[in-house]
Amino acid sequence: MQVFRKVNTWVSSSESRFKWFLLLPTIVLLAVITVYPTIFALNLALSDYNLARAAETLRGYIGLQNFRDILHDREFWNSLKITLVFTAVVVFVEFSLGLLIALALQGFVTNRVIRTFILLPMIMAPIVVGLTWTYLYQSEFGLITYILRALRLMSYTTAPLANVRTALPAIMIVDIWQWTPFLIMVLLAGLEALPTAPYEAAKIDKAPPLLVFTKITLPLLRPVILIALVLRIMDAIRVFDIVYALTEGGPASSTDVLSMFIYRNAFYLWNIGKASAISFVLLYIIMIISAILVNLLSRVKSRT
Amino acid sequence: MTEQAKRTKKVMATVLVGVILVINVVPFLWLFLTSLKTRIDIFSIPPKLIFDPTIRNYSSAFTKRHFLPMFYNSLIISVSTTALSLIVGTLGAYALARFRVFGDKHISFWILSTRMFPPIVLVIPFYIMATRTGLHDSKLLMVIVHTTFNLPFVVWIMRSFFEDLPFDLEKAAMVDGYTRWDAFWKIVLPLSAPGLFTTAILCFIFSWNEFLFANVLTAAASRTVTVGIRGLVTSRAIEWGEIAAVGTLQVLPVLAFTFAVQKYIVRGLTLGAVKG
Repeated sequence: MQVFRKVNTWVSSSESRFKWFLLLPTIVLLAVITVYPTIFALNLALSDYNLARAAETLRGYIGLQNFRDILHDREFWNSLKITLVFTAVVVFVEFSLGLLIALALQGFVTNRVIRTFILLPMIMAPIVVGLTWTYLYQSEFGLITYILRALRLMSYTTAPLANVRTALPAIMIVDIWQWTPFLIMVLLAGLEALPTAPYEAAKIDKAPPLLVFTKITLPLLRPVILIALVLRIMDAIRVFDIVYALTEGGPASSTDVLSMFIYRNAFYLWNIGKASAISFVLLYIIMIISAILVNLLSRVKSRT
Repeated sequence: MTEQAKRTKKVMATVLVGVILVINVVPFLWLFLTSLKTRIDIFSIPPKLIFDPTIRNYSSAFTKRHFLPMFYNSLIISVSTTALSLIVGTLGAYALARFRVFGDKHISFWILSTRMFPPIVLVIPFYIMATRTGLHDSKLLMVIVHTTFNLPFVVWIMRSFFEDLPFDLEKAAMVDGYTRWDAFWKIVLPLSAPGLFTTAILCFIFSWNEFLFANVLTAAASRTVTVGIRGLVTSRAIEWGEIAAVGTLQVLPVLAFTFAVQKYIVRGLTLGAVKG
């Protein structure tokens, strides 16, 4: 106790000492567990490192060779394209649905139980979501497959996840199911925090509802919308669990998103060097988006 | 709006809430019903709604598939990473919320960017390092790995909660003779209890639900529930009954926790930006 009191007075006696006492553990721990592994990974990305080949055939440091190889890898471009299409479609649909539903429900979702169940999809473990939907899409006794066949929307010779044309949309539906609630709840929170004064003014001026929406609601909601979008884009670009559960990237690489492609290269083919190099491409994309996010967050802060 | 229009809007909103609830709950409900079905009922076409329930899937998940140790592993890992991230991250968050620190903009950006790190980028170096050091398949490794996303999360979200409190609180306390540490420990922290509680629950859920790291970095000894449940899918057969049973048990605590913290959950999931 005596020691503790001494430490207490010592760290508290100077402001700069106190703040670094508070901040250093975070910085040191985070540096050890994220910066060091990243440098380690960069080292791997610059090496000929393949656990499937005999150690004496590996060439060690090869500079940017892995990165050059990726640029000529058609599978990589296919994977990048799938990731970007997936992200664009799911974020667009989730946002549109989320905004429409949030507008309709403004002020109506106050019950705790109802709020919890609206959130259910997004708090379920993605791997469990993936397995649940694999079961719903199952080619013989899956509930969705059964309903689609009963409605004559799908033939008996195929299944949602078995067809190159339908597998990616099927995964998109799962993501949309899981993450639209996020958009609904975030936009609802944003809407319910809007100031009432502009709306009263609009009412006095008898402004038409569409004009109120485009001239008042959208501009005021802009920061919330942007933050929700950036967070979703970031998550969608690195999607892995549901794809791993539903298709593992198949059939015929039609759902081979970047994280899945990297995983396959690293832990099926054991080409660690190449996989690390691709992962840096993904990291680079994410870093650009997170710079945008930080910008948005600090702008929101300066307003309030 | 007229009374009539208001009533119409209310009816429509209620119907919409109902439709959303059905869509959101049916897949989970279907999982739960499947967990109570015999193998024959699971494979029946058309899918059965009425059947004789059985708990055999639950018992075989624990006896034949040994899920008890996996639930234990998941619990230990989730609680440990939550504790570690909270203890370290709360201090860091308080420093960033209250004091101007040299380069604090850069520090904040760096911390947030680690939160955004795609797990697939880190899992490869962690795998190589773990096999070299013998840490592979240890709970300690999983705690470290899950802290890579939980620690930055705690810093960002707790910073937003601390910034809600006026600095005058601590100034007044210090006038009364409190040290800086006491002002933080005895005044600010108790007032931030709801925020801390929400943050703890969310950290727990992130770790409890995590799959990619656990799938690569654990094997027989430290396998978590999420990895175990995916392990019921093999090239020979897919044990749907057991998947459903374990899936149900995995989701239920998360559901209960969400119910407890739903007031702040939007705020937590937008890193403090949107105050729900």
